[in-house]
Amino acid sequence: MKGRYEDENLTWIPILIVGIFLLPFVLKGLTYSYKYYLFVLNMAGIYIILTVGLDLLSGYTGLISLGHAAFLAIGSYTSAILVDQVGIPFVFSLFISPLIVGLFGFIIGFPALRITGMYLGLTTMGFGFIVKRLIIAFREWTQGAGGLEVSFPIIFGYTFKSDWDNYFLISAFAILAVVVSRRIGKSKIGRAFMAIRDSEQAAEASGVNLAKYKMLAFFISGIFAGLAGVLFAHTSHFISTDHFDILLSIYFIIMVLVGGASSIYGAVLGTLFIVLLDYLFVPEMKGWIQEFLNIEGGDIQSLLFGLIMFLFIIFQPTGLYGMWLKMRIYWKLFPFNPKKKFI
Amino acid sequence: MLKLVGVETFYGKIKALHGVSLEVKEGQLVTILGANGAGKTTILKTISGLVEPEHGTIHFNGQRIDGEDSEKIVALGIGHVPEWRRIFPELTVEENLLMGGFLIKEKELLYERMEEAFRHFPILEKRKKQIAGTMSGGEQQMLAILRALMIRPKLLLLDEPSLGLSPILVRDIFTTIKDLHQSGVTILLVEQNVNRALSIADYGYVLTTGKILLSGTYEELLNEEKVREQYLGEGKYMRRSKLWSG
Repeated sequence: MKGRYEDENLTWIPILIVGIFLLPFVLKGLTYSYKYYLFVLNMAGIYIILTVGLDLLSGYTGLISLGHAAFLAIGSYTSAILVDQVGIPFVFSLFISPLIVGLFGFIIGFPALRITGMYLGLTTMGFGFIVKRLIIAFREWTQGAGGLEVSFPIIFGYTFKSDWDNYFLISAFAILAVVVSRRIGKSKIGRAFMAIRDSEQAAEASGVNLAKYKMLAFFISGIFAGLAGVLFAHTSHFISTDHFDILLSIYFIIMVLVGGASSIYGAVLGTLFIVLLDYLFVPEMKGWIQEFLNIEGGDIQSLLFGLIMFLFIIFQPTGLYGMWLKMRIYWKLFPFNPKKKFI
Repeated sequence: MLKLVGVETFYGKIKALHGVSLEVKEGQLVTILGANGAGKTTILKTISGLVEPEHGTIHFNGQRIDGEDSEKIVALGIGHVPEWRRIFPELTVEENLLMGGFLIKEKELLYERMEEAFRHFPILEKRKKQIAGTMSGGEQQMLAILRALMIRPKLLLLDEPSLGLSPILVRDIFTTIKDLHQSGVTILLVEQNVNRALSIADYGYVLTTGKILLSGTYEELLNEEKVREQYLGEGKYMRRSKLWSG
């Protein structure tokens, strides 16, 4: 039931990729508010880059991180400072900044050698708070809590100015991130990650160097988060510490869990699901939900996401992706399926 | 082949092994017997580098291996089948075997070894793509042993292979162990099933609370009264009423 077998049907992937690049034209033809939809999709794309990396860390290796918003923040600020203040071209920052974030991940990996589970979650959460404080403290570069304006991304002389332009930039990198993370997940490294999650002792007895691979998981995850951060900073033009709240870290974990931990497609589905819910569904339905629950104001998103995660963990622990796999088996066998419901 | 001298291992401040010395010669099947908590598992973990000994030395083929990384120890040719058949439950059978050959660099060799493993235990080939955790206990134990065999170990450490298995499966497992031994693998076996373990072993050590109490061949140990009393259930019986009167 895991999506990591070689005998997968791959023919639909090129179609999907073409579809992704045609989507903005379709949206433009359909609605006048296509720019907002593109903005939402860009957000989803950036988060997908991060969550597939988080999935490699939390889903595959089993190391919970509640500090991924901090990695995103480091990536954003590093790139903003490198490009605007040091003067490095954006193209180089695309490579350098993720590596720097990867090194931070490496450092955070050290405590992970000793602690796991809940305590690791708390440690990484603490890391998130520290990063936020540090960003405010380094006022000369980061403008403190006031936020920082960031330049447009420029690649080979072309400036990406609008959400329309950014969509192509971000979706290209999102596709790259998904492909690369799937390769990693299927490789020997991915197997070692899953072995560590399943049984540290047996993994060690098979000759896996626990320290090396745990650090590697944090490093790789940091690189993905860093790339997401670079794109986030330059496509939203303005970053401040408020963007990288602890709540965002928790949302990332929810995205991975709802999608289905330890499957890359699951992380993608979960991210799309949560982001679309957050930006499209909740604003539409906010008034109605408030009236229905008889509450005023309040953080509807947190309430809703908490509930969704709760329901998924109880009723659908394999996530959206697991649900899809079950559905596929159901339709494959269609007239002859055993009388069981598929969800 | 393997020689432990005065090995002392601690878990935090608790001393688990009080100076254990034992020897495994090439081609032998040596078994360690002992009650729960005697330190049998700790000995195996110490040998394979999962825990580090505080004192004492471990030599394998003349090379000192105590305090080395488990990665290096595996590469030297010590395979370890951990207690409670610690397979990787979420990985497929195939992936479990590939993990066993984690240190093998050449891909062809890896797949060759895997084919061999399947020949050893053909049921697993049909279950190649099955998630290992969904198999029965006996199949999982077989998988755990085959996984350790992927690197062609010179010495195989088996930790309670019969734990939690039905009597028929226990018999099968012991037949497999015997076959392995006859094919030339040196085995260090930890077992609670004393009768069976001794019946296939060349030499045995009896362990109590982290110390070697006795050692000897099958016949020697069987003739030892303490072994018969404590491990083979042939002790003196006492009336229950006398128990209370002291």
